[in-house]
Amino acid sequence: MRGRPNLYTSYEAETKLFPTATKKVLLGLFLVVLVLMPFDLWVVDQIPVVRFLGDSVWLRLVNRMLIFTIGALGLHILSGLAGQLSLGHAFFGGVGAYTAVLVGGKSSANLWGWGLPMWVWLPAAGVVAAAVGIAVAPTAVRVRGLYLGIVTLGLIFIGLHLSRVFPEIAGPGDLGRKWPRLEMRLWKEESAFIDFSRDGHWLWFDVTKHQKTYFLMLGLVLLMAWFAVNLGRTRTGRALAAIRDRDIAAEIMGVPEYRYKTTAFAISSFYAGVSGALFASFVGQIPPEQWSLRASVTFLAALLIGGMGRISGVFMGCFFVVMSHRFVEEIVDWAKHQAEGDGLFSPVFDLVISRGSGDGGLISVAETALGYPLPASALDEIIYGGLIIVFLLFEPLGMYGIWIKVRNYWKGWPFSY
Amino acid sequence: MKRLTRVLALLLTLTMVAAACGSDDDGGGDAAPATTAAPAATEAPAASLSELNVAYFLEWPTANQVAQIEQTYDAALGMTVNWHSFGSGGDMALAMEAGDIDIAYSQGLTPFANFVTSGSELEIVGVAVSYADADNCVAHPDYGVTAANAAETLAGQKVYAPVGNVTHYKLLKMLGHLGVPLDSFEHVPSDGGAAAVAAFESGDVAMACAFGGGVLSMLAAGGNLVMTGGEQEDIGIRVFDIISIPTQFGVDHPDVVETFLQVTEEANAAYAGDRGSMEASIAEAAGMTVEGSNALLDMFSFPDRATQLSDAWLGGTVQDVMKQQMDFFVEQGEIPEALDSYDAFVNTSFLEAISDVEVVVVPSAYDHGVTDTTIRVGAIADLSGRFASLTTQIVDAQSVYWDMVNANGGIDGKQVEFVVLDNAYDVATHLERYEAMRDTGADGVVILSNSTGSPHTAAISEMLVEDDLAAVPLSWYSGWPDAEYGANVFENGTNYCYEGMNGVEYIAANMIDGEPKLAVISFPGEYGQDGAVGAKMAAEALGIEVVYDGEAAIIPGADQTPVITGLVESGANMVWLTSSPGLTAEIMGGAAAQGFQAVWSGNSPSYNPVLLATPLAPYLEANYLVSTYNLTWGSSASPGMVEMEQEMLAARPDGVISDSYVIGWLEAMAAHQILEQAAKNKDMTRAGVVAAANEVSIDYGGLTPNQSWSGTAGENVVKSSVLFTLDTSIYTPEATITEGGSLGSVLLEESYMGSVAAAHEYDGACFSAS
Repeated sequence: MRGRPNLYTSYEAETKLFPTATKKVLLGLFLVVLVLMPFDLWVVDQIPVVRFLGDSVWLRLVNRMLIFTIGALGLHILSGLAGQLSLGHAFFGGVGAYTAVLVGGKSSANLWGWGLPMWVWLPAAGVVAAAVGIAVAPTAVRVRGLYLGIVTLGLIFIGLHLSRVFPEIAGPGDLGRKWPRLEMRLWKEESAFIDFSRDGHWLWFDVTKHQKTYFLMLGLVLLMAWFAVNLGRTRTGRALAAIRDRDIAAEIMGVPEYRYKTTAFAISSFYAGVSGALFASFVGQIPPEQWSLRASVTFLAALLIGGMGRISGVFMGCFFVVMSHRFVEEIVDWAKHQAEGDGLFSPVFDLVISRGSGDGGLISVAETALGYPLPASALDEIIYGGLIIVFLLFEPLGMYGIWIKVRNYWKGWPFSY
Repeated sequence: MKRLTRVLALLLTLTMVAAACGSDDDGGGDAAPATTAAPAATEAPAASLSELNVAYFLEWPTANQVAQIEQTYDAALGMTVNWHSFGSGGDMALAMEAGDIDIAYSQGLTPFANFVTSGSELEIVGVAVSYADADNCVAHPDYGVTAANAAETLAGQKVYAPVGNVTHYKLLKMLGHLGVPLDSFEHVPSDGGAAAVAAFESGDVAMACAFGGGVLSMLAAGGNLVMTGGEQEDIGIRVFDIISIPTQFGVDHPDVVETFLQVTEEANAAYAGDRGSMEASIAEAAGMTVEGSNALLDMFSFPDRATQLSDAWLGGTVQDVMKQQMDFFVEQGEIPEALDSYDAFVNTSFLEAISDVEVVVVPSAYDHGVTDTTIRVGAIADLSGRFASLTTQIVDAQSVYWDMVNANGGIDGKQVEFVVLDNAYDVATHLERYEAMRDTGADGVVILSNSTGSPHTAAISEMLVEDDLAAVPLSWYSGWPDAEYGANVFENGTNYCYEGMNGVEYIAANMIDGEPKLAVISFPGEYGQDGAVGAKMAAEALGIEVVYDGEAAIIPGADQTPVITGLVESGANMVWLTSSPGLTAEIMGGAAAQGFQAVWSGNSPSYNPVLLATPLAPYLEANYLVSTYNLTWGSSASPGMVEMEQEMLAARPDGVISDSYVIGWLEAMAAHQILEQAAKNKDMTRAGVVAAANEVSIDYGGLTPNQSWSGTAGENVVKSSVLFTLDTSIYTPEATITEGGSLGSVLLEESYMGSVAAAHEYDGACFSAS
């Protein structure tokens, strides 16, 4: 019976994290690649995409993606697993960030801060955000669907208002304030024993601040993803899925809706809080506008594009949402060089690319273009919006769904049934 | 006794000649004090020369002065060289006749020609220095004289110029070339350089002609050259100094003359290769400050041997110029007659005997963002975020600027590559873009000519210091001059805080009848509160009552009724706003609807010309004082504005006229001049560029007060703002650059600094977060 796909003889077998040896090996290899990615190794240079993602120019973006992924995993638990729409996810990120700066930031005449180390402020950010999540949860029991979306949308504006009422925490106006650095201290001593925000030396290797941050974030993402995956396999996870599929039916079956919705909000907000604190600390200084509706929508978009309800979908969605604009830029730049060169397809690219007034084409390569022809930034927005519509209409499972279809096609190949 | 009589007789002759020629004609005559040091007679026999006597001008910096001060001439000649400073070219000629001077370096051509015409036995052996730019005519901005329209614009106007010297000669030749009839304007005789500047500044004359520092002063006062020195040389107008000797000295000691010329040639070549390292020595030898010496050196060129021997110089032109000048003076009745030919007074045999010296240009050091051929200048700008419509124009103006720089030969012989990345007005994205900018080697940039946004620039300010990168911020926060806050952030113009002080003081002093009552309304944060704090500081210092304090009262997106009510009920008769155009319209509209009357003003950009297209236009025109950090589009005819308008017209004829272009232009000007300074220092590394930024003084061509960042912040912070009134009748919305038009603002004060700002000692941001 061993090794037959899709044949499960027990519930335990069906819910195994890695049902087959192949999955285990592939995942292990993937992890090895991820760990080696930031280094300038021959092996890494042979893998497409991965070979340049490790460069310092890209690695900072990769780090942002990893931090974003932690927040998206939180929304996955709330929306993907428990089916509760939230437009206020960025608000919880903000709660985490401002908790972090209050606990870990430096105080001065006009600013509050206790200057505690990261091992205090990071969990505190999660816990306080979770507590706020618990406070908000009761509304989720009263309203559902779009109405819940509107209620959570309100949180964004409450957050922006609070940030202005308390400049002692948020910093003045648009300027923001300095966040505690990503560094490990025992307590308030002068020098950190691990400083993720400075270049340094680990064992026998020189490591840049981005490489250090990358490993920290990669570790945290793996930890939190592992927790999120396992949550889905527990009693709580099954209860959340029941609520997602039909909350009234779940309640009739004896699933306490109030308790589980509150749990979902708490866990989701914890993730958002940790993500927000890490993000603010990673950037160093950000204005309150960062925790806006747009950020919330970006989290939702990552889930929609990646595929609602799947951890691997979350990863794909985050990769796409955070990295796509840079890839679009690179592609436009590449197309520009093609159009300028005299290669076989250069006339084709010349049709698409506009290199100045008078030169026809859909996409402008001038940095200062506005309107038509489209600059790369506008093209990116259009692709982004278009994809959300396409996925909602034709592929509700998102990129994960496409992956399943491709996989199934090749599984049965050459037999198409 | 006999000798003294002879000297006296010659001095008399000289006085007559000098009176005839004016004092501007002989190169150093104007710049050098009359320190004629009659050298001790050297009666050594011709065959065994033991020391060489050379005449030169003090305060007249030349490339060979490094060889003078380092005694390279002495070593090469194997004898002592005595350098005697003179006050005029005529004195030099006299001393040569007397046998006291063997070689005159940098003698003016006109006195030389005068002396040989009257029989002196002298000859030209080389060209010392050419300085067509240093002797020129400057047109007054009010009259708008250019090469294209000189005939019409000069008709019936006054031209201030000396009579009967080379400056006069140049003026007449230039006007002849431009087709201006010589009787169509009124020639006012000049009393010298300082008088020319005074006449120019009075605005009575359309054009004034002078020499050296006078030209620089007039250009600094907003004047423009009708023809540049280069353009004049192209049509055969030359102003230069020569190397001359007594004819007999050349016969007796040809080897000495040749060695002298060879050392000079080598010094000129070394100067051409690496001027920067020589400036201090030259200034020392010339008895000047380095700045003063450099200002003159910028206008000088020292032609090499091959150039001197070409037809353009000693191959024929110099002889022709002497003939023309002397004929001209005969016409003027200054001298009885000229010689038929001056060919006999040029002896190129010495120059022909020496060898060419190859100029080895010392390359600038560089590390990141610069290669042998390119300089990468970065901009992290908001191209798709909240301020994209403004920032794209700002960046666009910069592109035009760098294209202009490249067309003019680039910087240090390298072409500028302008790298623009979009931050979408997002701090995290700004940091990611910064990663690309700080990249090492040829992939990075050497300076950021734009870093959009206060929080964004604040987020990179520490890294700028770590990476030794300089950045010009698109932000006018008063914290940037503070070295602890923005050590490598080089802000253009004044800041929100001083703007607030100036605005309040100006309105209270000039626009309010009776007791001024101030209302202050602002956004929270580094923009709003910085401006509001400045306004309140002025109010306190001037004893103005603040009847409504709305610092940080404008919450974007919130209901503004409480602010409007508070304002209306306060009874204020003047309002200082620190807001955005949209909220200005909302608050002003609300207050005006309740019949509130006051003089309004605010930090830029509280106001935007698009408000003139709204129903608020009449209220704005009657009550609003526009305050900015720099001149707005088309609001003056300063050289910077004229240059920008011309370049933008040529490059973006369909662009809509906008004040954003000026802001971008200014940023690029600052970055350009910083890079030029770094190139001059031969250090284009990132650290070298930061060092250059800390020593350079930026000339904005009148677009905003000039600025430097050397010394302490308190010494350098710019405190003056620009004030305008509004005139809706001249407002032309959506007019393109080709169509021309106005954004409705009329210049009131080009550079206003009130007493409060002037007395304020800068010691960090007015409004600080920490």
